[in-house]
Amino acid sequence: MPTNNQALVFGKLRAGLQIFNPQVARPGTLGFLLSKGGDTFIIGAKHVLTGTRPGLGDPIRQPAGTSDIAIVRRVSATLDCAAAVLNPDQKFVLELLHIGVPGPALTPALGMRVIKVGSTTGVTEGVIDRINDNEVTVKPLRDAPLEYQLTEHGDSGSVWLERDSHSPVAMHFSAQSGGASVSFAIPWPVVLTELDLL
Amino acid sequence: MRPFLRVRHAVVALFLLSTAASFSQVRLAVRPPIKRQRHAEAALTPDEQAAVTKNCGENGVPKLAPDQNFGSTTIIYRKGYVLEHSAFDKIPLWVCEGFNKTQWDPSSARTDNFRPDPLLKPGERSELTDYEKKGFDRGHMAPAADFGSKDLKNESFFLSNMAPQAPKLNRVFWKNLEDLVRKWSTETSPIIVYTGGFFFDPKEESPATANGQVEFKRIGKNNVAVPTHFYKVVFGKNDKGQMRAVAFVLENKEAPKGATFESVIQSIEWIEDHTGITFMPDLDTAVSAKLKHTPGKLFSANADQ
Repeated sequence: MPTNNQALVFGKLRAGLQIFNPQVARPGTLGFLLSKGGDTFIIGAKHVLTGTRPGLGDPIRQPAGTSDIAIVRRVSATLDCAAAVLNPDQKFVLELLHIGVPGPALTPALGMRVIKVGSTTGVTEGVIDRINDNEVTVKPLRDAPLEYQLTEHGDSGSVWLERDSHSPVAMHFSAQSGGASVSFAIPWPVVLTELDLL
Repeated sequence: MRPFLRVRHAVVALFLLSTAASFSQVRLAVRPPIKRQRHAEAALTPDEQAAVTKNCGENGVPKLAPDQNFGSTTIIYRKGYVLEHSAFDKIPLWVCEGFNKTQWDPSSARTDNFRPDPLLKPGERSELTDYEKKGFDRGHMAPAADFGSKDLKNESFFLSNMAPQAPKLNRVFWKNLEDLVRKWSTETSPIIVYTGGFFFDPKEESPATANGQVEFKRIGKNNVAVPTHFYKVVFGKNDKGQMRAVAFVLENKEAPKGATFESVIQSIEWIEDHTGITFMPDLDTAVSAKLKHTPGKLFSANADQ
C-alpha cells in the first residue's frame, strides 16, 4: 500500500495534512492555517473537528502524532466548518503541502479552475460548476477520465484554491455517493464569516 | 470495458399467478428517479478500517462505476463483513468477508435472529414484513455458517445482509456453493469472498433483442428488489502464495438440472461489467487483468485444498 504523505507528521504543521479529534476518531484534512489576533487557527470541517459533539475545548491531533496540536475554539451552528487554535508550542508554516503559500481570499466564480490538497487524494483539480448562497459544487475537468477521484473519504476540510493564484475560494465538506466524483464546498468568505475570522 | 448492460430505470412486473397465493403480493413497481445522495468525507474510524482490512483485504473496498446511478448507498462495517447497501433496492450491492477456518470452525448454533439493520433508516431498509409470504427466502449474502462465534453469526442476520432468494436456489445449490467456498479457507490460507445480487437479462446482450430494460420483481411495503441473479467472487492464494480467483453466477431460481460448480463459473470481468462494481480496485493492474479476464478454476472440487 502506498504511503499516505498527508498522514505523516512533519516538523512544521501545514495545511493539507491529516488531522482528527481523538474523541471522534474520523480523520479529515487540515484545510487552512490562518493567523488572527495573536492566535493561529486551523480551519476544517465541523464533522471532523467535533463530530456530533459540542466540541468546544476538544483537542485536535494528527492521527500519526503523539501530542495535541490545537484546541477547538469556534464551531459553526449551521454549517460544516469549525476552527481550532494552535497550541503555542506547535510549529507551523502558513503553507499548503505540495502547493505552497496561498494567495489572498477570493470569492468563488462559475467556471473557475480550482485545486485542493486532501489528506487522502493529495492534489486534485476541478472546476466550479454551481454556486448557491452557502454552497459551491466542484466537478472534475471536462476531459478528466471517468474514474478521476476528485475527492475521497478523509478529504473533508480541504480548501479549494483558485488554480493559478492559489487563493482560497471554498472548503470541501461532502461528496456525492455512488457515482462520479463531485465535491460540495462552503464558499470561503462564508466560512470566515461563520467562524468570525474575517 | 464492455457496455454495462443493466438498465434500472423502469420495472415491468412479472405476475406468477399460476403459482401459489404466496406470490400474489409480488407486484408492479415503478421506479422514481434515482437521486444521488451525499456523504460527509471524513475518513474511517480505526474499527471501520480494521473491518475493511480484515474483510476486503488490502486492495480497497469495491468501487461503483462512476457513470452509473446507484442512488443512495451506505457502507456498513462489521467485524464479520463489510457491505454497501442500496437504499433504493433495499439489498446489498456487495458484501465482502475475509476469513480463515478459525472463523467458522467450530460453529455455534444458528439462532435465526433475522432483524432490520439499526444502522439504516426505516424507509431505506427492508423490514421483516417485506419478506413475509412472498415466496422468497431471506438469503444471506455473508452466510451464517461462515461464522463460528455466536456474536458474528448473530450479526449476519441483519436484513442488510439479505436479498430475496428463490428457496430452491438458496437451500440447495447456493448452500452447497457456500459450503464449498467456506472450506477453501484453512487456518493458514484466508479467502476473501464478495457476494451480491444483480439485475441481468441475456436479451440485453444483443442489440437485436435488447430493449433497454431488465424485468425484475419487488416485494413488500418497502419495495425490496428481487435480484434476477447472484454472484459470488472468491479471492485466495495458492500453495506458492500467488493470488487466484474464481467467480460464480447463478440465476435466482432453482439451478438447472445437472448444473455443476464448474458450469456456473463466470469471469470476474463479466460480473464487473454487469454489476458496475469493481472488486479489489487497488489490485495491481497486471494481476487484476490476469485474475479477472478469464474464468477461474475451482480452488478444489471439495473441502480439501
